[in-house]
Order: sequence, then structure tokens, then C-alpha cells
Amino acid sequence: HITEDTSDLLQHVKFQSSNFENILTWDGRPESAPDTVYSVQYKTYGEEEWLEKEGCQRITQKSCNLTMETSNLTELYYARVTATDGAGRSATKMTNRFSSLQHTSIKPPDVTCIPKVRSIQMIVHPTYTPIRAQNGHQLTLENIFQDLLYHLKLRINHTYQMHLEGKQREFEFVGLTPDTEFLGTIMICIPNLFKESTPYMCRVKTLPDRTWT
Amino acid sequence: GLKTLHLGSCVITTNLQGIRSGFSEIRDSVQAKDEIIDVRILRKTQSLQGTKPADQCCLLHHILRLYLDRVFKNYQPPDHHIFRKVSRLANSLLTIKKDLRLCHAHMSCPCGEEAKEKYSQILSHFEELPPQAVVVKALGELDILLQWMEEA
Amino acid sequence: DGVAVLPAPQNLSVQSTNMKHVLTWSPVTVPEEIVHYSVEYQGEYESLYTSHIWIPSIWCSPTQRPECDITEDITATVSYSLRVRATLGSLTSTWSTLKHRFNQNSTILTPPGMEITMDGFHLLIKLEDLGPHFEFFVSYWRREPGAKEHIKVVRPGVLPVYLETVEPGAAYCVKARTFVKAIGRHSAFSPTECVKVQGEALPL
Repeated sequence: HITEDTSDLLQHVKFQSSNFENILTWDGRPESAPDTVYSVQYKTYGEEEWLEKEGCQRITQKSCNLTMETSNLTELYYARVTATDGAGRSATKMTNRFSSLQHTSIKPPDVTCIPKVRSIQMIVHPTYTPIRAQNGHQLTLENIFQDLLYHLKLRINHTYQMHLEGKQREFEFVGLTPDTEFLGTIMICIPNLFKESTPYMCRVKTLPDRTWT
Repeated sequence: GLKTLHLGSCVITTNLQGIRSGFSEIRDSVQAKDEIIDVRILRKTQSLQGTKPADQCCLLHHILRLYLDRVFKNYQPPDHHIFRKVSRLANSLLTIKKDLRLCHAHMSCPCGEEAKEKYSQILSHFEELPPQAVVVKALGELDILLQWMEEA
Repeated sequence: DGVAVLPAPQNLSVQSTNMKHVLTWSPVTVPEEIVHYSVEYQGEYESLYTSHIWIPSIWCSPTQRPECDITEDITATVSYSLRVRATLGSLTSTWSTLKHRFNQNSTILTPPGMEITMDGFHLLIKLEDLGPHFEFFVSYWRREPGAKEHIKVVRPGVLPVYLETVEPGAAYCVKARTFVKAIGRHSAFSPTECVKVQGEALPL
């Protein structure tokens, strides 16, 4: 009995997670027949049962949103995909063990940069995640990561930088020259898990000084 | 910076971030070797933060001893790269265990019934599995133990 | 196993500065031959629990030079045992083991190199980048009686970093030291550097 190699039907089954939005993705054969369908299951590490993900049974696209199913931050998860082509050949592949706390990447923060005459104010807005507390409230990144802090840099005409850092959401770079352009970069840092977001960048110009005009 | 662990009246500081960084480098390859995914050794019902503070030090002390005596000792790394990373973890956890032993010497690491009960449950999960498989599983679950310590 | 007729390396010692650790030994010389060396290490864990196991150094198994950068082998703050042997073709010496175990908490921490400059009325500092282990604590104050000393944690980088907006005519002083989290130790402070700000002092 020769078992046919069907591994080409399915590759790279993995979670792509950012800000706790957990999407299962995979690749099929480069020229996979349009009639290849995919079915997704998931399970909690340490439990026996695989559960079928409703809405991702016999689908043709190559991704499935498992955010709600993998939203318990203290659990670890697996997911697997079964691909079946028109000729009835099938292949099943599983992800690595997934922990959203460890694996999620952090998106740039949402920031408002407000130029003044001799300073620039930066207000960081909270980042809400799909994770909900027991009382149903949506959690922010700050709620989830106790050691989260913001790191801000202001570059002054390519010669030096000003740094500010802290857990608060309002920052102000002071002592600046009026009517001058600056480049600000703001990152979310989570030291304990050595996570750092890609930076939010804002280019702003301080207001002209009209006090003597 | 350094993480301060408050385990009842035993307070120690440790470079938990460095240990987590070391483990994250081998996590996927170690966990991929654990094929028994229906079973978990370190379960939530025995977690540190679910244990009363007075017993946390003793529970952690026993868990670390289990890792040092029976996991790292019997783990067979597939290559030198993993071997060095595991050595770093073993030596880092050894420093924590030595700090807990100091607490023990200063009578600030008592072993109450809760600690004994939870540790014996962990041990029974550990001993249910075949020797080489359990070593791989336990090593793969270090992120659970580190998260427990993070929240202590 | 090669017959050990090759002399074992002698005079092993470790020089460690700012968390860079180098093991050195006296070379084994054989006329017109190139001798290679292999370095292995044991952490405290291995010595206590698996004493028969030695780990090959990441960069020096083998090496031709009578020294080895063991910085990436020493990855925990415990005492390490180190050993070296020489090989020449099939000939292999016995192992030589470092007399005293090495712990990275004995590393010499030097005061950081720093450069103080001004840009207009902005006081700037540029710090020597010593690697990922290091944090920099910078103290600065206005040079006048009773002046308050400010302390800032500064990340080294390519560009100088802003410290303070200063006043014309005043003088300001700065010093810095490093902190290494892994071993919980500070360096000594760098020599204090003071700068005088251009312009007339503001009327009181």
C-alpha cells in the first residue's frame, strides 16, 4: 500500500498575531486547484478535544480569524488545517504551540502631535485590544502589560535627539526653537517580554514666535 | 530592570527578562518535539499566583528542584546551540533556587499543606509520562513557569 | 583518543572588562607546525548536576590563537569552570583547567566615555556604546552653591542626547556611570566635565 505524499497541499500553517488579533494563515500549492478546500480546528494545550472553528469549514481562502477562540491570556493553543483537493487527496498540518501573550506583535501607538511655539506636546491614545475582562470591558495594552511604557524621541536637525519615557500618556518636549521642523518617533515598549512596537512617526513644525511682532 | 519576586515573606530579585529571552530562542524547537499535547504538567490549578503567598516560596523551590534534578539533567539537546541555551537556563534557574534556599535558611520559606498538595499534583502529572517525553514536555513548559514567576 | 604527547597549555587566565571576557593561555609551540586549541566550559549547574559534561565554547572549538572570547559562553551569573587542550593532527594534549572558577560579576566596570557639547541652549551628551548589558546613569547640575543634582537614565545611540535647556552665562557640570543589570553593579563615575554657556547671565 503506497501512501501518496500530499504535503504539497498545505504549508506554513501558523498564527499571525498583532495587538491580540490572532489570525491563522497557511499556504497551499502554488498552482493549487481552485476546488481545494480547507477546514480549521483548534484546541487548548493540555486538553484532549479538537474543536471545529465555525465559519472556517471547507473554505477556499487561506486564513481564518481565531481571535475569540484564543483569547484567554493564560492558555496556550494549537490550531490545525486540513486541506482537501478535488481528487479527494487531503493533508493536515498543525501550528506551533501558540501563546498570544508571547507571540503577539505590537502595532505602533496612535498619537496626536501638537506643535506650540517652543514645545511639542504628544498625546498617546489608548490601544484597545479584542481581549475582554470578565466584566466585559475591552482591555487596552496597558491593562494587559503592567510594565508597558512609551518611549519618545525627537530628532533635532540630524545632530541630536531628545528622549522622553514613561507610563503616562501625555508628554511634552520643551525648550525648542520656534518655526522649526522636528521628527518625532513614539514606540510602545514592553520590557519584560522584550517587545517593542514599530514606531509611530510625526513630522511637526513649531509655531512662529510672534511675541515681538 | 531586575524583577522582584514577592513569595510571601521571601523576597528575591532576578533577571527574569534575561531568562525569558534565553528561553524564547529555543521555545519553538523544544515545544515542537513535545507530541503529547493533550497533557499539561504545570496546570492553572497549581499555579503560583493561585497559591496563598505564604506557600509560594516552597512551591517554587520544589518546582525548581524538579527542573534542576530531573529535567535539565536528563534532557538530550539535539545540537550544541540548544545545549548552550539550555545550560544558560539551568544556571539561571540555579541562581534563583540558591536565593530560595537562603529564604529557607532564614525560615521565610515554609512548606504548608497547600504547597505540598500542589507540588504532589505536579509531580504526579510529571510521573505519568514516559521519561524522555516528560523531560521534553517540562522544558517546553518553562514559559508557563516563567509567566507564573512574572505574576508573583 | 589521541595519545597525549603534546604538552597541555599553561597559565590559563581570564581578563574581563565591561562584560567582555577573554580566556588566555601560553601557546604550545611545535616548530613548523600549527597547533590548534579547544576550549570547553561548565557552569555551576553542570559542575553540580552533570559533572561529566563539558560544553564546547561557541567560538573556540577549535581555534589557532592562544586566546578565546568566552563572552557568549558566560551567559549566567554563576561561577564557570573553563578548560583548554592542544591538538596537532591526531596528537592531543591533556586538558588544562582554569585554577579559579570565573564569575561575570567580577568583571571590571570602567567609567563610560562621554562627550559633552552644546547646541544653542541645549546641553547634550554622547555616550560610548558598551553593548546590551549596559544602562547609563547621567548626573548633571548647575555649578552654583546649593544647586540640585539631576539624574537621567540615558540610552546610548548614534546621536548625542539632550540633557537640559541651560541659561546664558551659567556653568553646568556632568558625570556618568554605567549599571549592569545582570550582575547588579555600577561602574565608578566618569570624571566630571563642566561647560560654560555663552552670553550674558539673565538679570535676577
